Amino acid sequence: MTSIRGKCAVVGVGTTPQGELPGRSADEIAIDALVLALADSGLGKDDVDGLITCKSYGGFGIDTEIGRLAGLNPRYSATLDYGTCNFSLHLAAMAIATGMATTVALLYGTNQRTAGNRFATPAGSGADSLALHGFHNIAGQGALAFQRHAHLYGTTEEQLGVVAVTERAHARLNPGAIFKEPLSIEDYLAQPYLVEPLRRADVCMISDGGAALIVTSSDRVSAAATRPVYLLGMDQVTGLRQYQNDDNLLRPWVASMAETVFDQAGISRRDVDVLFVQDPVSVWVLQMLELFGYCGPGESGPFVAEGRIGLGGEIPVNTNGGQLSEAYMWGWLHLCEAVRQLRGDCGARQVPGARFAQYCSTKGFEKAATSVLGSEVPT
Amino acid sequence: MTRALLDAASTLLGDEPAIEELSTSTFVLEHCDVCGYVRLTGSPRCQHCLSLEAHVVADEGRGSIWSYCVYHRAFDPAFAAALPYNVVLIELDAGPRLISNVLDVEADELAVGARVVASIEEVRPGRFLVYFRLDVEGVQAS
Repeated sequence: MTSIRGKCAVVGVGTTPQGELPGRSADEIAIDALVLALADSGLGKDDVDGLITCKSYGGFGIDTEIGRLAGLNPRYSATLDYGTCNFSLHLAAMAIATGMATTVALLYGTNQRTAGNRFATPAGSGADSLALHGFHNIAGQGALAFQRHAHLYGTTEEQLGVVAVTERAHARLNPGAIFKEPLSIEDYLAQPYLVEPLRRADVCMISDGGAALIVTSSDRVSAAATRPVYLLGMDQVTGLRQYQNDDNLLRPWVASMAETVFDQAGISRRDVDVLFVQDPVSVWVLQMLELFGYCGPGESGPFVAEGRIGLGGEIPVNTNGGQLSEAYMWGWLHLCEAVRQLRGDCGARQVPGARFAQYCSTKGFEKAATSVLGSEVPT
Repeated sequence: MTRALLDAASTLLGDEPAIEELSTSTFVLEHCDVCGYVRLTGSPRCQHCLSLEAHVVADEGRGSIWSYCVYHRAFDPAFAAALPYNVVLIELDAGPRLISNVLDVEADELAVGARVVASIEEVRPGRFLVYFRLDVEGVQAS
């Protein structure tokens, strides 16, 4: 495989206020983020020759409409059904590596809170059948996955609760986060079950917001005003057969990426200073810690309970507060935060001297992606 | 819980036919004629060898609970009267896995690995869905 290491870099990030943005369409919000990202990068609209948008609730986020609204004629454009920013970043890297574009804008905007997304969609593919059995919301799959993990390894609800409690502590240091009230493990355990064994704090909320990134080829980073954050490694894997796969809700197929992405990046897992996990449900954090080897199989419960994923811990996770406490942006804010951490721009929640970050994201229980980013390119 | 769960499904089904419904009260699977792979009904080709040739076989519908959860909120109002209700992922002895509910069960009777057997319920006249019950006899049979 041709190495992507250091071929391109993120040179601009833009994030709008998160929460409720009444009166703004999803596409307007996405373009708001684009304006912020361009301003951050110091590049102009005319420098952008690639556009990758991400579909959002209500049928928005299509490249043709956003291009019209933003007055863009990029050489290359595409729309991803489910970007999580990770799949989007990989597509941008491929476009740049093949010469189809030099500077690509990635963007996502949603007004799903204001537009009234009740999150009552069935939890997975084969929607009709699942709805008839009341299997709604991603919390259902998360609850099944956690119950299985608890059965196999003795993982406790108190251990799981550390994920939400830790992300809340991080969010309290993030001025842009929505949920900043203190959350202790006692508070967590006192919450009623939502989908037992999960509680409200284990599941992301619905929110409005926008995010955008500017990615450019490495030979152009000097044109940008920011310190470049390089893409060092990327990989994807699928489990499209879904329940035909053994233990699919535990996503065993994700582990293959742990053997590829660090080789590609030229670093080891131990070099990663800060980890980001797209977390519609807290359980995903436990899964990714195990699947990428931060702890052994089944050991994620004790691992998080020992304080290792908090700021100052062995591997701080979701320093932005994650989707559980910052905002629900399909993982886009995680990558923005990763870039800001590697630039040293995170203030009170900065991981001191952070040089390398990893981001892990998933599309349901069907696809997964990971990226390793660095403030420098290992030789 | 049981009647309310069936009522919720009945409400959602309405008068529109849905592909996952059974036309009879018998639990069936599809066996590929070429490679023998066993699948749930509804996939036109074998998901193992892609053959179109298959036949429908009545199955006992015995299996085990891979995992379970209990809903305490009705994300769809149709399920409000059924709260709290369980959702389970079943691994059939024949191979396929499916999402369903275990009927007439106490919360403390649900367990990973518990034996279950399919129970076909007529949620509307002539409209059948696959549910499960704890398989007391199946403990010996398996």
